Amino acid sequence: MLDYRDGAAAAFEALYARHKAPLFRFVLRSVRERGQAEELHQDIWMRVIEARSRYQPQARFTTWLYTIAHNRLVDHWRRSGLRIVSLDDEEAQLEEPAGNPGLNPERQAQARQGLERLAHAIAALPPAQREAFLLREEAGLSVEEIAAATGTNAEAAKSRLRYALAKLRQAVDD
Amino acid sequence: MTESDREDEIRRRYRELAREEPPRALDDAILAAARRELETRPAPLVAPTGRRRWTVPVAAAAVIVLSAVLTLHVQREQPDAELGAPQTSQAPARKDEAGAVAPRAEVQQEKLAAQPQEVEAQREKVEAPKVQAQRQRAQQASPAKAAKPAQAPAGESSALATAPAEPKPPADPGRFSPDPGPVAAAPPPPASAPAPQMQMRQAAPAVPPPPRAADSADATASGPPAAVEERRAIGGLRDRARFDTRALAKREAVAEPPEKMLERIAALRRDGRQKEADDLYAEFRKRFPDYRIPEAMREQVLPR
Repeated sequence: MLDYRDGAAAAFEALYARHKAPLFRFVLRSVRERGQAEELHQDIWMRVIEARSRYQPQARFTTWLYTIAHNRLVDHWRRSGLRIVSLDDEEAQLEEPAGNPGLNPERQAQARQGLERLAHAIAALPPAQREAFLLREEAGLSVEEIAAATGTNAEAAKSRLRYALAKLRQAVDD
Repeated sequence: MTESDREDEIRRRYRELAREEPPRALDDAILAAARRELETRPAPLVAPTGRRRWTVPVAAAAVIVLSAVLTLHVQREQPDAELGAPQTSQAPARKDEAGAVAPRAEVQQEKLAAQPQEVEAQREKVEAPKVQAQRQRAQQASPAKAAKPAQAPAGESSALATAPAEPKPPADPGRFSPDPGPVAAAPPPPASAPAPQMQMRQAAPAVPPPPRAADSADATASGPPAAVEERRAIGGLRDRARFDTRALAKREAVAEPPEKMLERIAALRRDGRQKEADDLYAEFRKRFPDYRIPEAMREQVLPR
């Protein structure tokens, strides 16, 4: 990112190639609708590009990138009419507006039985736990980095991750 | 199987599941936007950090303050040389009339429309009766002169004191060019919060000074401080009108519906003005982050 800030276009291409797929999956599994995921994905990268001149390496680039993604998703959830009592609330599922079929049909067609169950289980997680799981699996962030990206403390991040894994384990084993 | 093994199993299955990628068109659009950003805004030679970040803004503020001081100084000195013509007799009632005109003119100025030319035309109308009042005031200026110089420096120092509060673009020398004609005196600017801010805005690039309505042959012997106050008031009125113009433009931009913005973006792309289209699209996304672009429009609107 520093090289891109200093004018190297190829540096951004390398950065994008490394992070585009994990970030896209992170967004896709957070909003579930592919069209929205593509727009959010693009929006996040546009913010990265616009912040080029003032980028300062205070943390890992990945942490910074997913902080932007987290903030963007929170904005999206708050403005799109999805009701969220609390990101940590076990019962606060994302209630989708009428007409949204939920899981992407493309994913449904491609998933095998065990994987399909895992995909359903991930979609059924409370938003904060799902986010912690995806940040761990897609972005490779540590517990402390997950806490920094989501604006919480390490204990809360660790707890969310633990609960998420427990639920997924239970769903896959059932 | 331990808990750790089971978690590893979950992770392994997830890696099998996670194969989605963004579409190629989206990749191309993002990469193109990244390249355009480099073309429009080249990297700084040295990335400023710490105190160095403030070097340029502080230097700009210092330049503006010095420019303002110098131009005000020149303005103050200029009328001393020009205003030496004999006074003409004026009716005493004109003074009251000018005093009444000035506040009305101030209100008029505040309600002006966007065009700075209209501001200047309006100001010329206001100045004509003020010139008459100035003649009258000059006749009675002798006892008042002792008090005026005290007012002018105080007003100027308040303007200068507020100038460093925020960095401003360099002053336009033409904005403060010496006034070739007489300027009618006006009441001192009100001592309220907006006035110092308006004074500060005099440093921004602005409309060039208008031609004076009154003939130089009719110049009166008004004291220099009165002329300075008049110009300051007029400058403040002009700046207030400009501020209203900007606020009006901003309100109009905020009120634009998303469909209109999308049409503008599509038109820019059709004209090949990709950078402007990208900037407008970024602005669109800031204002309407979750607006669902219709499928038919996406092709015309999304960055390429």
